[in-house]
Amino acid sequence: MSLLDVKNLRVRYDGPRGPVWAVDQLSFELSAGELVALVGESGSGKSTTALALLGLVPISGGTIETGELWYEGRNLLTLSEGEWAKVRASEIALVFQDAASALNPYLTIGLQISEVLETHRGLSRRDARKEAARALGDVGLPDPEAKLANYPHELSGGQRQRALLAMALVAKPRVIVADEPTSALDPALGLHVLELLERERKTRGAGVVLVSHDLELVAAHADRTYVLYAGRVVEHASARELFAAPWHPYTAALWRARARLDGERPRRLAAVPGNPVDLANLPAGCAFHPRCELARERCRSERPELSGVLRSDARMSLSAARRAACFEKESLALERPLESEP
Amino acid sequence: MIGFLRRRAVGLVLTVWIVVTCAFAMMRIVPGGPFSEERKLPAAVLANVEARYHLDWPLWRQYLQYVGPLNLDEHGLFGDRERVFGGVLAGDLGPSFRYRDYTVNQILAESLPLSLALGSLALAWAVVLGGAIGVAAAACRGTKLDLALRLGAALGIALPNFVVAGLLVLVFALTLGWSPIAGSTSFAHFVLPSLALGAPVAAYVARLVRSGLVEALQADWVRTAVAKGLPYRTVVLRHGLRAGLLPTVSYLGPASAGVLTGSLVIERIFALPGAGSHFVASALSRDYTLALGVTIVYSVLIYSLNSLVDFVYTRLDPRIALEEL
Repeated sequence: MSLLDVKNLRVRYDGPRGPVWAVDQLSFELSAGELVALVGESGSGKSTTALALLGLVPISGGTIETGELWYEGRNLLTLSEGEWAKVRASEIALVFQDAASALNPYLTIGLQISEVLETHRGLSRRDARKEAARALGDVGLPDPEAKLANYPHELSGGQRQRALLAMALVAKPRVIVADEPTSALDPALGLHVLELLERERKTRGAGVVLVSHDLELVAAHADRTYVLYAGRVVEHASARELFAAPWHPYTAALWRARARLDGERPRRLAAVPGNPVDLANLPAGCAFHPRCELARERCRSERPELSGVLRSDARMSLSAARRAACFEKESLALERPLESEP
Repeated sequence: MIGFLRRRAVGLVLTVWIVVTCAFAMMRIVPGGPFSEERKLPAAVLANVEARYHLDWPLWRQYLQYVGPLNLDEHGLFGDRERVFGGVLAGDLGPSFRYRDYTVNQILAESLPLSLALGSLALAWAVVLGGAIGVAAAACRGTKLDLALRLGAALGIALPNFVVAGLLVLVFALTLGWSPIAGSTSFAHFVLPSLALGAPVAAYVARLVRSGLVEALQADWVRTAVAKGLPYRTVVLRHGLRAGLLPTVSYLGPASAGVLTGSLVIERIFALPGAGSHFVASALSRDYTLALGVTIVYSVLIYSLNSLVDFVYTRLDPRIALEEL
């Protein structure tokens, strides 16, 4: 049984140019102890999904049109704001992307962490501070007791990000949603943050939803990956399968476009060809077709559904849950296997 | 802290000196003088009177007599003739030119305390009422309550204080009889005038608190606070209010100086012998020393209150260091 089950999520934002569906018919699930990655470019709907998991879509100006969010036998999307408050940070916690703006500059680190425990665990201020210091020590901050009295601007960027992580982990939530937790960090610190998330899922079975555009990171840490484009899942597979042989041309393009730190020949940072998708002006048919080199007539008029492949072939990885939303997935998988690591 | 106070003390002295110099020059540039009345005085009388107040001296000498430090006056009009030091530097604001037999120090000592008391009470109303209304409106922004409170605040700003004063007297003094109509003999006498004086300030504070708080509530860290499952009250009061109050604090500094020095209109309506009328009357009657005296009081208040604002800023925002101000 899955820990978290998202079904048919559809999120609308009403902008000046009309309604935009940032997330459309998105379904995914997360089991205890699992790390699931949501990847995609900006505008793919991955951050909106992260907000939706915490019930934060309304305060960020959006509307959840349809969908279910099952957690422990309850559809969280039916909760009142007061009931949501009991779930947030206590059951499902969110690690924000930018610690510089996500931490309150007017309050000490100690207060910002201990208020979580005071609210959800009913601890006294004194006990909460003790626990907060322990949480800061757990994420590897030196001299955690002294850090309690610091304001965010007195910490370095890496320390702030870890303090933010400590804040999310302190109440021991069962689901941790991490929105680009490493994008503001240098690679070594980013790896450290990932290790801390790994520890949470291994030691106490927390499920982690990792929102990222960093494919190397995802390939190295995720159990399963959902690739998002224009608010929809376009491919779903285990992380190993996904990048060994992508079924969707977008996944293949993302993988080719990733920044390579280990490349032997220096080359220009590649990008997925074409312009990022404009949600207010979605093309008919497959949303990716204007940027796709395999696009055919059918792709321009008809939207491919997320499905497995019909033919079985020894060269195609065929775990039962693997899905892609592309008419050409079979030819892509068979005829254009990605070159293995150079 | 000591360094901050020392820097501000130096700044205060310099500022007041510049203000006094400019005001002194401006008073003398304006045509007319304290003794030029409709019925012309005979030339000999006028010369006598002017000589008594040293208006026959060259300007630089009058300026030096007024500011100090040397006591050039031999008639003892500008304080004690025995003293070597005189003028503003010795804390002596000189004799009033219109209220004969009174010094400016005496006039201010009689009228300022009343204005300060009235103004403090008005400010208390403004901060408490305006702050509460602003927070309530921001917390329920977009609702009918918000709209009603904002309309009320707009009305408070738009209505002149003599209208507010008149309405207050009509309702609470004449109709309901809860309050004395005018005078200054008991605390109850101050309630209505301070409400009338504070009403526009309260309305302004309400608007500033609301808009500041609404903006502060857009911050990413407020979303973090919500994501932490904190109660809405904590989110607004602990995570939003500090940043949201900064514009109000900036406004309250100079606004307080205006309120504390009294209001001609309110003092007239409620028959209060405050300092507000001197600000207008002294300038019109060319009572040079009294006009300069109230200018000094006002500039000292403005400067001190702005320093207080800076200090409060460092308390509200830990990123601002007192040492750098």
